[in-house]
Amino acid sequence: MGLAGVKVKQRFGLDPRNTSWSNNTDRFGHQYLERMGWKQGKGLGLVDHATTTHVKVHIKTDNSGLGSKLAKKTKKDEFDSGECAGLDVFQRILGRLNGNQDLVDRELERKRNDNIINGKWGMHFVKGEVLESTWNAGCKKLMAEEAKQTKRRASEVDTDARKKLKVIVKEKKDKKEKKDKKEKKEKKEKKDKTEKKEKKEKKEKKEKKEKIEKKDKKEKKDKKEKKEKKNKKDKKDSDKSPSAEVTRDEMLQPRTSTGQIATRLSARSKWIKQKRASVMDAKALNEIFMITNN
Amino acid sequence: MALEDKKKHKKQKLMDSKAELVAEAAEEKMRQHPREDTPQEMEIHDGGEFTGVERYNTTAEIAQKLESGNKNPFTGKSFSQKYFDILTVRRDLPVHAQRDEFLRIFHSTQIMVFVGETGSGKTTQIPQFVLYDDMPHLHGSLVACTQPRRVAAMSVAKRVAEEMDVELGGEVGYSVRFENKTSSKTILKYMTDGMLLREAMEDHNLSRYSCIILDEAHERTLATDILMGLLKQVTLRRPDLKIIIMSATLDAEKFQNYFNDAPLLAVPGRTHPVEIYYTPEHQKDYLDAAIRTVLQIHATEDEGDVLLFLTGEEEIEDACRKIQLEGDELIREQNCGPIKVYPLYGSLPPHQQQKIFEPAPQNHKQGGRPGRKVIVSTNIAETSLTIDGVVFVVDPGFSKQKVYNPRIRVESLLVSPISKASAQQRAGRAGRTRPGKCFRLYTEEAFKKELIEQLYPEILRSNLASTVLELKKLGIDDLVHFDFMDPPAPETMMRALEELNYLQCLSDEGDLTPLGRLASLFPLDPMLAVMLIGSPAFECSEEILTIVALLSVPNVFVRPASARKRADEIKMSFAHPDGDHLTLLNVYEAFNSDDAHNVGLHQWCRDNFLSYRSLTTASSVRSQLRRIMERHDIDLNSTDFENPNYWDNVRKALAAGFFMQVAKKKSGNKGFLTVKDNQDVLIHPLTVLSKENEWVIYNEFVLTSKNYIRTVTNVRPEWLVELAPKYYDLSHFAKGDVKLSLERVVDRVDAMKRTKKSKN
Ligand SMILES: Nc1ncnc2c1ncn2[C@@H]1O[C@H](COP(=O)(O)OP(=O)(O)O)[C@@H](O)[C@H]1O
Ligand SMILES: [Mg+2]
Repeated sequence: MGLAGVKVKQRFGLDPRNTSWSNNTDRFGHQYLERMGWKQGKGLGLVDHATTTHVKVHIKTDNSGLGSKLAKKTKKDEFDSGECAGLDVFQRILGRLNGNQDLVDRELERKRNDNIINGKWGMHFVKGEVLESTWNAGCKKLMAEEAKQTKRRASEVDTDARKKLKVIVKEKKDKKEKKDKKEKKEKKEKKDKTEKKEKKEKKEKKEKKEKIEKKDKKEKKDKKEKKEKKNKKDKKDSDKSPSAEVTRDEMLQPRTSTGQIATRLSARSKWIKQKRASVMDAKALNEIFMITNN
Repeated sequence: MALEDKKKHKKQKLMDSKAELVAEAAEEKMRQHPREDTPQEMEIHDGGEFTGVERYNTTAEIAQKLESGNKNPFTGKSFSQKYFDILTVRRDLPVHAQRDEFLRIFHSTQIMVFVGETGSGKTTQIPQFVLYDDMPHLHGSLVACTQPRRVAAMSVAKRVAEEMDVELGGEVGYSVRFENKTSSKTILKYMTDGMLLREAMEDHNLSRYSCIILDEAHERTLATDILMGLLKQVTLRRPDLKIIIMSATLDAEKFQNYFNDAPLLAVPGRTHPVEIYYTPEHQKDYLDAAIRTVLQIHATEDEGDVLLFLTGEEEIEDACRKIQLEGDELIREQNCGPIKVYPLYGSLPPHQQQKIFEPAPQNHKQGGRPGRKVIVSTNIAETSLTIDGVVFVVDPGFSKQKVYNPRIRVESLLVSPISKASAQQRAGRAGRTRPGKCFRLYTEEAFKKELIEQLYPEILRSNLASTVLELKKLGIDDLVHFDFMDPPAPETMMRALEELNYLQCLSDEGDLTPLGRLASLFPLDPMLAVMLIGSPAFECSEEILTIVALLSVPNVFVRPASARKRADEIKMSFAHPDGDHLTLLNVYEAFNSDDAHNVGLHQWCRDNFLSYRSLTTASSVRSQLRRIMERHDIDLNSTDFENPNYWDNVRKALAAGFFMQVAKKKSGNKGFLTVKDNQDVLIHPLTVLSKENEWVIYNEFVLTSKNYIRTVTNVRPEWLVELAPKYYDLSHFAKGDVKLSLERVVDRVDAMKRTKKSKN
């Protein structure tokens, strides 16, 4: 796709890729390069990795964040495999809960902060890796003989860093294992509640597989259904616990009064206690923690 | 009769290219009255503090002794207390521990590669290490350190002048496009890579320099890439010239390989761990998410400054306003500490750039929450500038990147995802002073799947017309076998050659013409340079000078969201019905009127929704371009404003330059078609032009969901076929509406000529 090939609806000219120019070999530029020894289909310069075409890009036309393509894709996947939606919400809950317990407590105590976060500025984050250095020093070897001295010095630092890195990696692994375990467990718990739904979804899935030809039409319908279902589900969740997802609109609305928040908070801490009890190893819940929700 | 013939001949020649005639005349005059080029005399000192120190044979110990002495060895003056204060800090930088190592390699080789993690002291310290070894002031030479960005060049020069206890513009100076702050004393010059390239065009061996440092080579800007290819050749001719390639990323092998296995020195930075956070899901609006994240950090996190990366001036200014506003509310409502927001981007004037280094605001309330500084920056703060005190980084994952499509001849700055390498660099900025946090406004999956490892070098994303002209001027004729680190796409090269050929900067044999030589002297796009050189023939070079200057600065029209309508109304008061270029001219005239001066220029600009900064920059650009014209005997003239041809002359001169950027209204249809490349375009809604015009020239092709042409002026097709007969040779046109209309135009012109003739 050339620059002109944008996925946003766009009217194309007669020759959006201007092939009438590129196919014309009588042009001065073409002639000149050939005279200098260039051959059609080859790159320029003295290296063998020379490009033969210009860089192509997607044109971004809105303020949507990075990964919108992915987001769309996963949404589609959701329709395909009913389970994913649940998982998504589930992970979000994990995200909010699985933080370091102390942190959770501290966060909870900081009512003031919550107040702000639940107000119009609330943003959620999931903790990822720890960056020890912008240099991924472990996997690059330095070439120069002269640099050995440095390297020694550098590697002292490196080993330190690498040790840390290892620790992190290990932690991550543990975490992951535990998370998996936990996920299973959680799933089980949830299963009862969602069994009905899952069954239905599975059925849908089957149907879909059978009727692949009609998929498009059906998808639309599914989407609608899904939406309804999701709404219902959200509602259910929020009935169940105050930690359900907040929509952006809600987030942008002015803060709720403190009194309300207090009750919500107590409800939430109760819920957290339950969750905590359901998780055997609290330390494993090291994953995320930034911000809680209303 | 003979006279008539001569006249006709002259007319014929004029039709070929007015610019070419001017160029030839200028060259001829130069030949007859050669002007002494007055190169800046270098001051050559006696040894002073350096007596007994041997060039290219010093050690860290010798240098440190000199640095800690009483007198500044470069000026002979006593060091100030501030100097010693900064010296202590500098000695703490990671590169310092490697000084001996550096000097050993520097002595042993002509070209070296130096990689140092951002903040390790590359840009500020290494050139000074070189000064104390090279002692350029004793040899009448200079040390150059290039930067991809002008902001960085200026800011770093200022810092290093302080570190060396000298005046900025004295021993340490800078040189960026349209701004030169150096003097005969200067021995260390920070400059944009583009400026060094320009200097190379005049002096192919760069003979003033004893050492050239190419900094931020990992950015792979167009100019740095060309400079690398050039320096590779220069070092063969000049064994006394030393080259240091500096980079912030570890993939230095590429540079080493390119420079025949040049030795490498790598210095890790002293960074603290940075915790990385991702959003659990895709953000619908990254700008909104960014602002909320910054405010949330301010409200809930401990002390430490925030660095937010956004893509461009407008977005940054907008975000700054919002954050400051909401932040003030936070202070009132939530008892937060004071918050101070600073923008940082390329076109910011130096005194405002410098503000980012001011300390965070203090909270004067006893035991109150800490004050915080928030810097909202383009990717200039990624590696070029280090701001200590940053603990939190907010990264939406985008930057503005240049793209060029040679097929449709569009170069554009588009907001695109950054690379993984950039994301890591950005995160790294949070760990300068203490352990920090980086908030990525995208999911971990997006990081892994949507970001490419490394951005494409700029040479693969740019129009190369200027570059090809520069290379030709540098005496490089074989563009096919030039040793590019990453060779550009053949079609991109062809387009550049063709544009230059149509502009008559290159002959049909591909040789530089007098016009090409003259055009290369202007720090402008070749098309603008040619237009300027040709403008005296239309009796309006003063006017074209103004227009070119205004096209070289950021948009002069300000359109605040809060007062769009009012701003548009006021803009219309400057409008010329024939187009935006002419409107620019009106704005500039008004800016220089007594009225404006009486009101006060700042106030006048505010009242009229114009950018004071852009207009003053344009003034200075204009006078610099004017000086180049004077130096080369290019007439400065103007048609009397009362003359009915005043505006037509300007439009003709514009047509003579912009003849490759023309669009024709589609018959019976909305929209325009670009001439020759046949792209569907619309005129940008912010034009002053009424839509009835059939033929327009445009300054810019903007890629968005719709393709817009921006800054347009109405022209007559007769002018086009007359002024650029080669480009408008209809046998090269694809069949269609444009060709048909042009054929009719040609017939009309011919008929007119015939009747004229028969009358005679
Ligand atoms: N304008 C400035 N004001 C104050 N300190 C600065 C300034 N510029 C640089 N520094 C200090 O110098 C250090 C080294 O910066 P620099 O040489 O630019 O590093 P590098 O080029 O390796 O990224 C920075 O960490 C900072 O502490
Ligand atoms: Mg630097």
